[in-house]
Amino acid sequence: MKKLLSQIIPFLPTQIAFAHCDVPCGIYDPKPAQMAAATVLKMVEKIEALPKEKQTIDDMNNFVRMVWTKEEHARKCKEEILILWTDYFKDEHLKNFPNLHNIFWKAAKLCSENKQHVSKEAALQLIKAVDEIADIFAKTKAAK
Amino acid sequence: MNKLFTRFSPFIKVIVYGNSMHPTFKNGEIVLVNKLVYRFTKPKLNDIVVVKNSLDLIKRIKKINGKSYFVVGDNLKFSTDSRHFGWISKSQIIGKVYKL
Repeated sequence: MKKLLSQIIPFLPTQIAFAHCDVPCGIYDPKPAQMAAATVLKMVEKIEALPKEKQTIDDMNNFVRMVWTKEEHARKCKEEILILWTDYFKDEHLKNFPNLHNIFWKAAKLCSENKQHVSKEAALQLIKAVDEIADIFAKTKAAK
Repeated sequence: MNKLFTRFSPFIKVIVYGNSMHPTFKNGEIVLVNKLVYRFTKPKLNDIVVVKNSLDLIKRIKKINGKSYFVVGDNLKFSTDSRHFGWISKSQIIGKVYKL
């Protein structure tokens, strides 16, 4: 039976079954964005601490890895922020937080700025912006 | 023609899309679905099934109450399931899933 089935399987029709949570699941958390922002700052500090002269191959390797990690976490931070902005927050939240769109817009832009530059100031601004979003998020949860 | 074949074939292959069944099934894994088995037997606890919802979903039966079934993903943190859309009926179960 098993042998017969294994011969039939390649000819069976194929379809997709979804095992994801793309349909609104109501599970939101600003923590991933905060961790990503903290990682961006850490990478900036590590890049700045690398030797400026007489770099070894290992230093260059570390430089590339740190830049890549900074890039990836800035991207992740932006993605997490956008999920909160577009999926979690609703019109009703604007009553208590009228500046909400501007806060998110600036935070998303800071993610891009941190990709473009190695700047401790920009990384700290990003952390501050994401913390502000987390604070608003906590207040909306507490109000429920 | 392919749609017709998929509809009437007693067995179909299904590509798992997403991580809600992790670690049992990984994203992109292909599984076998038996569409006939529940014509002769009742779905049992812990059976993994393909369910017709707004999309076809792959979930595990965690509770049975008469003819209603509560299905969840194995990866509870990243799953949309009966916790969100409620209990389902047997008519929504397309078939039983087997690992290939």
